[in-house]
Amino acid sequence: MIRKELVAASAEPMILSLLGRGENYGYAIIQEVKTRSGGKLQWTDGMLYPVLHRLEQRGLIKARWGESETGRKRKYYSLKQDGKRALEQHHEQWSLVHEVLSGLSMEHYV
Amino acid sequence: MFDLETAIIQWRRQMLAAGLKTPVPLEELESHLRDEIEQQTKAGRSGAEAFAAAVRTIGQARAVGGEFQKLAGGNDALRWRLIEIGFGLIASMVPLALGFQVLYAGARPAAELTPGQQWSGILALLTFAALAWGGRLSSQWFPVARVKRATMNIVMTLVPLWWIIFMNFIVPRHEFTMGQFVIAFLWAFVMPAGAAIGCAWGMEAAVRKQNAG
Repeated sequence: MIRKELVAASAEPMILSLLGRGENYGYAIIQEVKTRSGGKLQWTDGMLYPVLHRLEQRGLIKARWGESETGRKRKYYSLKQDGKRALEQHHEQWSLVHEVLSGLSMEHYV
Repeated sequence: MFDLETAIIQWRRQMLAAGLKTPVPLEELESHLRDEIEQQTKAGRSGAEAFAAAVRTIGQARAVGGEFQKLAGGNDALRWRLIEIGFGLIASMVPLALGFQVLYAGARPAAELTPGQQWSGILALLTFAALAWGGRLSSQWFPVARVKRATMNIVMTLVPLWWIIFMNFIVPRHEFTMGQFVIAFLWAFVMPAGAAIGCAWGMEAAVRKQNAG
């Protein structure tokens, strides 16, 4: 299991990245993160929505009500221009962290 | 016999009791709950089991309510949108309304403007609009960290100070004709306001963008 702090810190870039690939809704976002992390990244489902709403308030993403395949109401989120910029920044920062860490661990084994 | 709709109504009551609001976010959470129930049912669970499992994954009503309450304080985006509309209105309506006055001043004997003065007046108003809108549009290049709000405060003090000097000391010492006064007023009084608006607007937008990033 991944530590709680890291899960919280990575939630925003994860959501932005997923929405960067196209419009999506809460349930599918959680499922996708679960699948991609092999079940190791587990969000309490109820915690996702506050993050989504905060991103919406900050103008990074926008939401609209649509319908599911079975005709139920469903809220879809998509990336706004500011969100794309925020996503780029996240990518830069996380790549840097990753680069430094893997550089250090390589030295460790040499 | 388990009835899904009754169970969902009860679940909604618990969430409402925990302080969650409807329609946002409760409708969205219900949609999520139903997605999860569908999924669990497909996996072969009975209605009651699927419902219980779905409720567990959404989390305790109190915990979810707490997370949303943290958000309630931040109605910031809406406030900022209103501020922007206000700035935008001032930056557009002032030059439009005054420009109209300047262009038609020739028809009024009291404020007769020569064509040269009319052009000068329009130019002053265009400068006003360019400064006000320019501040907002160039906000992404504002050096927020270095300039900070202190500079903005200086601008906000200097402009009114200049207005007082202009109205109380410069205007009384000149024998302006009405036309000359109108032009002097547009250049010395209105145009600096454009700079102040552009500065305040751009700075605020830049600070917000930085916080958002």
